[in-house]
Amino acid sequence: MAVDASGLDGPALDDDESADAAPLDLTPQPGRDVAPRARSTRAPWLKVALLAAVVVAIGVVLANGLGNATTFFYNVDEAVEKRSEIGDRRVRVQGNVIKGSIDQRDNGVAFTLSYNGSSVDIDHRGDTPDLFGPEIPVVVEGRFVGDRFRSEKILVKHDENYDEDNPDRIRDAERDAERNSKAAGGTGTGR
Amino acid sequence: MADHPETTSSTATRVLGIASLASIVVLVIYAFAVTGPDVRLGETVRIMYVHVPTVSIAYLFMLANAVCSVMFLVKRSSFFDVAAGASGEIGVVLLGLTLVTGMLWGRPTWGAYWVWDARLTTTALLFLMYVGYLTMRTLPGNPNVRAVRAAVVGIVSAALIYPVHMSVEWWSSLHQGRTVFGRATKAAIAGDQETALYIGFLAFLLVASWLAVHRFRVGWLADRAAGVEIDAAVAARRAEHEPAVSSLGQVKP
Repeated sequence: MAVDASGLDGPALDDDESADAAPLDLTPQPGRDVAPRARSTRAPWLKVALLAAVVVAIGVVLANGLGNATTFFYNVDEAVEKRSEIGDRRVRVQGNVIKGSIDQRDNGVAFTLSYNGSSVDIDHRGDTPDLFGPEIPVVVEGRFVGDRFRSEKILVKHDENYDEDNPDRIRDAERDAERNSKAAGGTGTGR
Repeated sequence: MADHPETTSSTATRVLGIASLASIVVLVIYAFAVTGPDVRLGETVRIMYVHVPTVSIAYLFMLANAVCSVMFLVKRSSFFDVAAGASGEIGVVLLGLTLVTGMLWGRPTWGAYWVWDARLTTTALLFLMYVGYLTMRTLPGNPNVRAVRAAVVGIVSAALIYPVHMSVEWWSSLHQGRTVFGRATKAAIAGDQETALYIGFLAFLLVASWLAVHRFRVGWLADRAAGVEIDAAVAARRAEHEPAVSSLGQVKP
């Protein structure tokens, strides 16, 4: 629609010259039903900059994601199989923490990770997530050093299974804990 | 709708609003009292009762946006343009909630707020596409052209929903697989937990619908208001030209 924004204020702004020079095109147009919006005539550059920022953000997500996301981790059996191909590249490996393999060290923890019949020994430096423990699926991030894997980061992988804690068992455990703390003279050092 | 409505509410939205509130109350009772802590996740499992419903209803409203966008391209009626905009806004808000709740869950569970795995990366992309869509709708320029472009972006963005949903199956992701829609054979969930999820779906569907109807009505009124201004300007111009038109054939002094 060929309506000048200055026309919004009514005929007062109109001078004779422009009225003669450019008669208003009032022929019906397809899509006339869509009423124009009066907003967003101010600061168009801000909006364009905002859109540009969104486009840049999408680019960053793509660049960060595509290299990473499709192979977020190798399962232990895949990693062992592709050991020579991986070399000393920084990778993530997924598997289950073997029960009884966890060995707390001064600056970290060592354990065995297993998946689909293969296993690899992990040396981890740093803290572990709260949910880390035996028979928990985890993703470790780091490098192979010889046959062992030196991990710098552990992510706990929660699977698609959910179950409620048995409330009776919680109650039992609480009662036991109470009894134990009383037996220990109420000092609370029973734990 | 009256010529000069003082409110965007109606009997229908009031009923919808009351139903929304009631369902939220039931959801809170179920999420915090009826269901217990998870056997492994502990208390953080309760985040799921918001996280999963918000993303599901976000998908639904993004699909509604795509349907409205197609209808706009076919019918060229501003009804569908405004409806698409309203659905897109609700979808972005819900998906934003999904991202935030997911991060709050990820820190205590995974040990990280964010990882660049397939599910999180594609979800971030989906979110940005719709933020871009909404930004596009506010750009200056010819409103008809803008509406057509927005509709195209809306349709293209909706095509991302399926890859986002399937990302956990197609690629190795830290995010867990599907439990509710297209359940993996090994996936399991306790009865109370599943019921809480379904109550969550209902609650967020009602809340989002209530918001969407109001948002649509506000958008529609804004559109009409803008149209009234333009029509007045056109009428004023036309009035100026009228003497010239009536004196056609006469030599101007």
